[in-house]
Amino acid sequence: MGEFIKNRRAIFGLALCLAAVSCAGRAAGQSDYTAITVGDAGTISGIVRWAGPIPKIPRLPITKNAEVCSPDGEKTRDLERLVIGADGGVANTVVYLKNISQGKAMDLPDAVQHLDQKSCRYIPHILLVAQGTDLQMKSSDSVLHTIHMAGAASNNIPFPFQNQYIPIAMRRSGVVDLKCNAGHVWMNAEVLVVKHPYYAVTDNHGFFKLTDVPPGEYEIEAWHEGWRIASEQKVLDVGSQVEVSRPVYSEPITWAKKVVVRKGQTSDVQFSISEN
Amino acid sequence: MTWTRIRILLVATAILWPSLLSCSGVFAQQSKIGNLTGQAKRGKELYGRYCVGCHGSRGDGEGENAAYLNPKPRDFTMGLFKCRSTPSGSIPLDSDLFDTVGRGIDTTGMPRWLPLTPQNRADLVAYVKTFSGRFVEEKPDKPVDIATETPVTPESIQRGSEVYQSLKCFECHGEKGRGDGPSASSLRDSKENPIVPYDFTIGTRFKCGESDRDLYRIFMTGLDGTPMPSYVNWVTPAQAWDLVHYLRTLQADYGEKSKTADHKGLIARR
Repeated sequence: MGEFIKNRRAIFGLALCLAAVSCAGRAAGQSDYTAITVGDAGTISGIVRWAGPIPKIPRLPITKNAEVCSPDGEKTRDLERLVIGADGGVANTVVYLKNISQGKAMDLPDAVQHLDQKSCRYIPHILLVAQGTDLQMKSSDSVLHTIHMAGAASNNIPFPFQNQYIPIAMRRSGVVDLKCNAGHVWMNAEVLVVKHPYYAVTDNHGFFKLTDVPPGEYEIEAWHEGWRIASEQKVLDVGSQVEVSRPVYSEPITWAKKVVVRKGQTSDVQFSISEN
Repeated sequence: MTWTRIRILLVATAILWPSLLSCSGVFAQQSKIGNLTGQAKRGKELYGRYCVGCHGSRGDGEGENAAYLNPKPRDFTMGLFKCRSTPSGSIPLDSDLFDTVGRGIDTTGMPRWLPLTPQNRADLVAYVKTFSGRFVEEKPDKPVDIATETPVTPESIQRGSEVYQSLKCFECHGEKGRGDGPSASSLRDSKENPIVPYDFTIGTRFKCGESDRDLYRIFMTGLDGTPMPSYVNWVTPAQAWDLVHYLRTLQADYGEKSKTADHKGLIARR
């Protein structure tokens, strides 16, 4: 019995160690970023540019609710999967730091956490939401929309009434694809549910900026949703009983670089993305 | 090994056991339905005998019969389930999966597995959960409340028809509930397979039950993996019951069927 009492402390120690080890993998997956007070910080900015010939962007016909979906009379809508400005800048690219474990507290702009459905278009097209917080969604349109999520969330929410925000908590990090099941098959958007604030979406000039970055060397990555039609899916239209084809888009693409951030300085990073 | 060492080992095991269980996903290998505890190990054997033909050995819905089925068998690896008591986006309760196995899904190839004992079904639920990491990483949300049913009156039915219009249910289900609304032919499920909205007039059971409470639950939780969304944010409980009462009037032969129905929910209603 004496030996037992002597060993009890060792047993508890062993238990705690093993419990910690068994939980470590999950804990790392849940929270591997710590918000700290960032003092001597630097900035990263740059431009994502298109290289090479500009590809033909597919457009889909506006087949439903034209009075609401097409106020300017357009007959087709592109899916906004690749938006290249006149100066060659690529919009809607997400640029982020990959290997950052501590830095500023979450400060994602409101504009990228609020989704509107207007003229049968998702605005903005790319959203950033901090893991564990709400994505706020509303519809400005008088027609029915539904937001059907796939990927890191699977909620399916209708919007029968205008201008009422519905919050949905984004619990898992990752990419969430949005589509509308109310006949507006061209509507699509992407939500990135993120664990830290060092994410930016490029503007129409391809410009991005990450501020308050602690000095150090980082891997910086640009992410763009797939824009190529990878294949055509033939399916039977259950209404007309006619076989129709639907485009299947390529997977998202990423480009990675190294960047060194120095106190009080702005580091320039240029990305060049192309068809190949 | 001395007796003391055996005791040390036993104590260490007792201390470690809860942490190992909770952190290694062991709970996902089990199901709890009331007093029943299902074990995935036993469920695996049953699955190999009864389920694998459609749902596939990997649980991805690619069993050898899948090519002949429409709708396609559920892909368990996605962790998406139509018939839940929990809100849209949440994993189901174990009891939701248990109910689905016993109830089957009418208008699909999924039969009612009532010949299997409740213990068998609980074991199958435990095994089905092992195909998706969601059952390890997530906890189900609190089930959507189902308020006490309001009286069925002509006024309630009239109000329900107005709710049907304002929520724009007709977009998919059609003005008369025939499943022929303007969006019906464009619908795809989460695997991009074509899918049709429910036709109330043909009088088959709903995919997720047949009682008034089941109907209430269906449009409040939505059917995840299908285009049917969750209306819980948009109607009050009273409006939801009005809608249930109206939807019943779209089922033209509902009264006739209820005379022979074996479900107490159906019998109780009329």
